Amino acid sequence: MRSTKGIMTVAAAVALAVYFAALTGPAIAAAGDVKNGETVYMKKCWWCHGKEGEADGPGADFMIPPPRNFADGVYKYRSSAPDSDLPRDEDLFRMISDGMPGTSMPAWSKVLDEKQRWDLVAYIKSLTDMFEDMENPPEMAYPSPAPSSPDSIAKGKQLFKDAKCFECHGEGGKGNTIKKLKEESGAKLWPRNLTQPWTFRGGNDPKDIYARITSGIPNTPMPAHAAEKTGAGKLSVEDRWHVVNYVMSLADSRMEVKEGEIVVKGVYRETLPTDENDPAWDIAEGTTFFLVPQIIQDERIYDPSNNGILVKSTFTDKEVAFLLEWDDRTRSVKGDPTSAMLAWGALGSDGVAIQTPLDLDNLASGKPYFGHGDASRPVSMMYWNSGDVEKGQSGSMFSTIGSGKKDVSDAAAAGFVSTGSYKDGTWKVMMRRNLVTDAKDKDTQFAAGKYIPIAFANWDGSNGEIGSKHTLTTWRWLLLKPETGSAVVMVPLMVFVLLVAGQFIFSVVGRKED
Amino acid sequence: MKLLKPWITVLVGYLLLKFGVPLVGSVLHPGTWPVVPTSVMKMYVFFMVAGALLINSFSEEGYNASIGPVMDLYTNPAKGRLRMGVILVVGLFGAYVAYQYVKPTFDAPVELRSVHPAPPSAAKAWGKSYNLQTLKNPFREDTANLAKHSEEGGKVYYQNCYFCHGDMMLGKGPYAEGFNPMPANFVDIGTIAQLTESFVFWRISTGGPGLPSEGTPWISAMPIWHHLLSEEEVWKVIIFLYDYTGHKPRVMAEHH
Amino acid sequence: MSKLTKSAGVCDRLKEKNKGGRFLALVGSLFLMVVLAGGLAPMSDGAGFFAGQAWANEAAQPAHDEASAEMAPAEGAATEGEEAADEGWKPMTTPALEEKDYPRVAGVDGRLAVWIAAQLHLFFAAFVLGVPIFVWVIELIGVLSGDKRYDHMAHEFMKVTMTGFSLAASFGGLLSILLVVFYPDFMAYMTSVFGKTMIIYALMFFAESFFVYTYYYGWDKMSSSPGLKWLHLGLGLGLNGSGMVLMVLSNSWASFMMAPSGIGPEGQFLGDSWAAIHGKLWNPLNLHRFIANIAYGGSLTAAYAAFKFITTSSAEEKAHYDWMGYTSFIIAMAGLLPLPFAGYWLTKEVYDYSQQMGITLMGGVFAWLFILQAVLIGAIFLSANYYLWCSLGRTEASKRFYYIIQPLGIIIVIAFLTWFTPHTLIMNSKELSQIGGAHHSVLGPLGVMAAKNTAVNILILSTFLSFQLFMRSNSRPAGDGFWARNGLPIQIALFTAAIVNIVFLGVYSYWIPANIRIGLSIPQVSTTAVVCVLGIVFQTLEFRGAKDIGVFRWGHMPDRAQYALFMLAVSFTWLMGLMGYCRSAIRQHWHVYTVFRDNSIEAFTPTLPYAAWVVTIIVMIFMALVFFMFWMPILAAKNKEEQEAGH
Repeated sequence: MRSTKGIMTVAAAVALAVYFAALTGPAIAAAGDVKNGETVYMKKCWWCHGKEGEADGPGADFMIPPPRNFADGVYKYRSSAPDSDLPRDEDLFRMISDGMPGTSMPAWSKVLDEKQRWDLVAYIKSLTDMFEDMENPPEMAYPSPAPSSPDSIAKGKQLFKDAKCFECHGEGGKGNTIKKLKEESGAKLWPRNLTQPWTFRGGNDPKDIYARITSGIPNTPMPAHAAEKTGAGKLSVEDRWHVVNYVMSLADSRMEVKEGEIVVKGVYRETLPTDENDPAWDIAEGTTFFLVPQIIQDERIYDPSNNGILVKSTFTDKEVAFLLEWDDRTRSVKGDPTSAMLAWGALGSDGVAIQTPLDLDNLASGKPYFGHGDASRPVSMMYWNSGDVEKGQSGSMFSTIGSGKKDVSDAAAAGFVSTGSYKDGTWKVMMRRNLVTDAKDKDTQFAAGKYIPIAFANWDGSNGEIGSKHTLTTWRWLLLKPETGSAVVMVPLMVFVLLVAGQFIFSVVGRKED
Repeated sequence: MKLLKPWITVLVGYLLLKFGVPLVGSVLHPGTWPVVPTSVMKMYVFFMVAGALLINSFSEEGYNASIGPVMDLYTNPAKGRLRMGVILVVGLFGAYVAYQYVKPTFDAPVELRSVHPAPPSAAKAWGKSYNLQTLKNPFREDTANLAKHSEEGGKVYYQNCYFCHGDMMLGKGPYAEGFNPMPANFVDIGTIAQLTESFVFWRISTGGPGLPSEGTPWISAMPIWHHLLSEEEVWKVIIFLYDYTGHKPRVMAEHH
Repeated sequence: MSKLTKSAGVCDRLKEKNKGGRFLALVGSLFLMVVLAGGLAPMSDGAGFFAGQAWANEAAQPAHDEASAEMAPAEGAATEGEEAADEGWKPMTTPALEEKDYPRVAGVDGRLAVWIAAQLHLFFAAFVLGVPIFVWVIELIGVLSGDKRYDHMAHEFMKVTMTGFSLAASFGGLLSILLVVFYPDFMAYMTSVFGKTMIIYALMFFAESFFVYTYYYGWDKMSSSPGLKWLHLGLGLGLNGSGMVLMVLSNSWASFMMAPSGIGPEGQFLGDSWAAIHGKLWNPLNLHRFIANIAYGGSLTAAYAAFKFITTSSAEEKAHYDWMGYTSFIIAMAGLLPLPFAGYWLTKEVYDYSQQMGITLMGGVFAWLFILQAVLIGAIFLSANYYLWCSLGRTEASKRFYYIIQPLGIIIVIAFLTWFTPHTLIMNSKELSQIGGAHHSVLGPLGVMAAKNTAVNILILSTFLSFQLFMRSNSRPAGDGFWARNGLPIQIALFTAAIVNIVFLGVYSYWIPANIRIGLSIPQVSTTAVVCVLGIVFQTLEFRGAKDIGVFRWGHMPDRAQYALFMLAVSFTWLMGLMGYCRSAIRQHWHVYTVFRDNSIEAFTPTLPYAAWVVTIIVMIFMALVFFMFWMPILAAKNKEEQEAGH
């Protein structure tokens, strides 16, 4: 049975490919070879997608979103005409080649040649009967886009509201949903944060966004808005382009990690900002760090929701302050009914921590272990969390010599203050403390002008992140840049005077010799 | 004219470094434009100029011809105005260079680190001590079941390692971006291909904290896997790594 | 004064019995040669270290086989334990010190103080150990050739060194005081292991003083007759012999700290001094320092000659100091060329002893020191070539070679740029993304040993070519013998073949596995060595009975060539400081590697910029003192002149 099916599939695939090749596609598509595809699949792909393509490989349980189930044959990202339920071969090829940003699917074009990828396309199509006897569907028509303009964006914004997009994607587009969402399979699902186009799984070209709006994302609550379809939220072609333009306008690269930027820029100020919303923070330049889930000790976490944290810092002669900002789809406060409704797993508080080595003098031979330090090299922490409905938010300071071995410090004596507020899908938390404290065995003694290793941790309480389940960064740097003072003017001036005088003397002496 | 030749050579050399090197690089690795890093470029240019000066000035004639005009400019009473101009320009240039040095920046510090630890003679994990000189992979000999052990190792890999070391073993897993230095690339001939299995076993089992206290800093984020995995699982994942990448573990020559 | 009269009296008596005097001098020289040979013998790893065995036996214990002392400490400890009980003295084990065990004196950073004193002591010691070696050789040449100029030059070299001796001794004294003050427990331990050798060291120091004074102050007196001259040469040998023993003894302390031997697992001394001295790194260190001292002495005397050349206006003196500078320069370069190979041996033994130590040295924080080293060595080569090019100006005939200098210079610069291209490139984030990762596809391959070996061999060959050009600049082959006709084409062919071979091997080595690749550096180096030897042989053959083309004018050198000699001396000094730091610092937080932990507050490895600054400041202090040292004899001469004028 299996072999007949295989032959049929091969035949179908070949026929399809020939047809396709004859029409538009590159010649190589014709060579999609199921057998070769299977060989590659059994070496590289099954680990997540499963041996039968049922998304049950050994790695499958450790990833959100879950791997695609090829046996189901339902594909999320497609550019086929709205009346078709199937993706185009080019869609599959593209997802294999380029991978999907923010997921576990890498860009296989790095290690597989074009033919192998087409072979894989042929093979994964053979894992379901959905494609049997089906032709490669035609590409969606992309009617001439409405050019982006303030007017179009304004219209798009209105449509975003009318079509109830905001219910899931949030009013500012940060994915701060008011509904708990899941995939059809029941898997956890967080709506896309539209301000971060670099995380769009199916691409962030206007055409890609148009395709998503038009055809929706199968298997998820994202509906199709094509006018051809029935149901609520239908949008005309023109309206869809307005929404595309609006979504494009939401992009905010502040939260995108810039390659090679690993220093928190501590700026000297006469006075510190009073709280996290003080406009004085606008002057400081932020640095964004990638948050990775804690997968190395104790209880591990594989399905983080927050992906980046933006850090600013300013300091005076006495104090240092940090502003920590991150996109979080939920404001998680224990005891809060909305929080509880949206939460996956037990509801925890949102939280954030700053970690620095306790001893800043002896770093040449190595930094403390980034996970809470170790016995010979302790670390010092500043911690804030959103707390619960009754007691409200709270902060603390402590030092650790390894996970779970903490020694609480006198936060008040260190002048420690922490405040946070949540607005439109973004947490802003300010932490502030004295540069130097009395508890030298528990608190880092900050000093301007030297590179201080710094690391961060973040908890999304609605995503089951409690205790050791959280996201983090490894060691980055903090530089509290001392006030440059007059040196920046005086040194060049002195060099200038020296050079001019030197040359002058040289010319005078030279003339005498003549 | 003859004296200009070294300077023209310096210019050509500079242009070759500035555009020639990236061009060659872009042919070797399409999609990259490997410029000569500024730090190295400065040294290159400095020594090219020094070389040109030396070539220009070793002979009396050469010295007079190349330095003569400069001396003339600084001493000739008829060139007073030009001299003042040059003095000023040189001074300003010096001031500019000085400003570049003192102006505040937030450049990341250069971190020097050791890359290749020497294996200790023995390592501790799972409460036992292993002699790394004689340690062998217990599954290596069982060639009949190698494929089975490799698959079991693969399961371990995809449930523990792939997050950082990646699907393609290139050290570029979904969370690799969070680490500096990047996680090890197993396909590269510079990693497991050059190591014995006992060494890989030691590195996996004891992780970054297990690195020797000499030769620091290492800057490794590798967790201590003997806290999370069993001894068997580690050996199997080693089988998988070599099997998947096609590398052969290094076999120690008999040491005398 | 009485000593001088006394020795003068001895001299007089010897003068009377001329024949007997020469015999005595010969016997004395032979004896000292044996001592010297004893110092050199262990380099061939033989067991015949004359003095070494002497005091190993003295320890009333059969000399341990080195291996058995290391491999079976328990056995050695047990035997020694009995003996120790008899004597009522127990060897000290390495104490576990704490921060409070290190005295803080007046808030001084102990490590920094010791560092500065040790480095200054080493600079002067290297200088005063190196110079007498070639002074003796030059004096011998003078005696054999009968050319008085050699004798005068040798004497003048000695004169420069005299202030150096007292400065070396003063800094040595300061160093030992500082060590005892800041590291009392460490010194107590070292004394428990090396007590005997320390006494010998002190005695040798007296011997050295005796020889240096009789050698220097007896110079003129003992030049009066051939017999006395030979005795004088014997004193010179004694000076070198005692200096050599001093060096190898202090080397043994340094090498013990890096690779301890002759001790038990607790760090307790096992009673065999020879085993403690003869550690794994001792002989590589001896050889490396011996050669380096000669090169260093040469570079400093070259700087002295350059200093005199610039400060004098007399044409006669200029000619003299030009010649002296040239001779010193040749000595420095001759010492420099084999130095990398001695360095390779030392590094290889470091790896052999402890792979981790080797990795610390080459792969970690110290790797950047080797880039600095590469830059300084390149600066040395550039200065050397420049000096040789300027040397062409001593004759008019050399103008015919000027056209070669430019291409030669370009080759040297290219080889040099390749030589210092770092393996790990420092780049900012923008460059990182342009390059597409940390590996640079074009410069990366230049950062590996294959490229470096090729570059350094080309660099040496080019320098040798500059030297050859200078040597042949004023000569025309005479007659129409085979070599006179074919000497030049043969040499050109030799150079061409060598360059082709070196470049081919260098390029080829990229395509073969690493373990074979390392082996390819040997044929590369051999090619260079063969060219250097054959080049000289062929040229000598070619110019047998050759005629001078024009006048050869010593002293016809520009001042800027003298600055090249200064550059050489400064680069050498800096290199010594940096690499010396590196050698010492790879012990990291150990006083004695793996045995005796350093728990002082300064036990950490300092950052590279800090270390580089400390070394630079030490070099500056040293250079100021050297200037003082050069200036002293001039001042003395002036006073003398004034006095004489007054009379």
